[in-house]
Amino acid sequence: MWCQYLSIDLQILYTLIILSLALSVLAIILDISRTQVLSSKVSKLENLVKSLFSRKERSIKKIRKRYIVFSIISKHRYKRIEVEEAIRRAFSEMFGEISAAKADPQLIYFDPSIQRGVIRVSHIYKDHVIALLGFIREINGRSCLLIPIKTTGTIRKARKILYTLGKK
Amino acid sequence: MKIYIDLWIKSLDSKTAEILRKLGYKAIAVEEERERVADLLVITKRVIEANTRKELKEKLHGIKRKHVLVSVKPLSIEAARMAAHDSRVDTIIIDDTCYKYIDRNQINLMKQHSKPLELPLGRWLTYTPRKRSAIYRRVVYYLFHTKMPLIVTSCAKNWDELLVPRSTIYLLSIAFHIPLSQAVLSLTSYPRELISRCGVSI
Repeated sequence: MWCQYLSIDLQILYTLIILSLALSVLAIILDISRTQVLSSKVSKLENLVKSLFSRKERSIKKIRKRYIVFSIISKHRYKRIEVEEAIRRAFSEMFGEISAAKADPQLIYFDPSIQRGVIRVSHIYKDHVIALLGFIREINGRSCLLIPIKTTGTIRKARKILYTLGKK
Repeated sequence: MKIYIDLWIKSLDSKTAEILRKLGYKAIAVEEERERVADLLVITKRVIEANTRKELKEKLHGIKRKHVLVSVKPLSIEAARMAAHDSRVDTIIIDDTCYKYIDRNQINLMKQHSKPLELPLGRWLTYTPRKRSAIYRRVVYYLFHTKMPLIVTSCAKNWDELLVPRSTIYLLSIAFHIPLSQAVLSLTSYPRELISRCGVSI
């Protein structure tokens, strides 16, 4: 009698133990899956934040170039060096040495026969250079007027404009 | 297409007229016209320098109103106040000789009588740093407190003193923090309004 009861109890005990084990295994599996989902979500968020920051950094750091096509009105014919020096000097006089270093206006192309040229400058200081060009009144003591014609993003287009736009 | 107008050219000759056309100007106000020019609308400009109220009154007395733009360069406070009051005056000039009289009260009075301020921008860059800053402060105060138009002129005697419109607009935007869309109006719409007030349509 006692043995019978004991065997029944043992069976129940075994089943209970097996059930608890199964439940714990299930819980573990569920937990693992949940942590996986969470971790994937966290990693996604991290990536998003990283991408946002890295994009911001890129926009600050990257300096795009702008090409300003200009023409000179004067009785005299100027050489490339004279024009470049005049532009650099005028820029540092008007906006200061630090701005001049940041902007770095370079006369990358100048055609003395038509007295037109292309200035390469950082996109941030494009407006400064356009403002400056109209107020350069003399180069090497000879009076002149510099007229900004067009601003482009590529040198190819700038050269095309140099020989086509507003030619009289 | 934008109609650029320069409201103060000291003397006009054929070379200056040719370059004005190249730069895209359609109308100008000239103090001294040496030669007749085609393709440009030319109106007369009278610049009155006055030390006293009485002197200004006398000088304004003989001027015809039609087709003539009257600008005053006040050389005393009373002349400045009178210029702001008088309906015959179109603009009040600010330069190195008269910037001291364009004070806060004067600007308020100009706002009351809707008298625009005229700045010879080409000359402004040639002044001493002290005078340049003083004028700058006054212009910024004028722009900020009155929200009135600023008229920009060249005051050019020769062709190489003319204002390049695009450069002028960008300089106004950089130096006086005027938005580009409004800076354009200093060379186009505002002068045009003044010209049409003088009885000239463009």
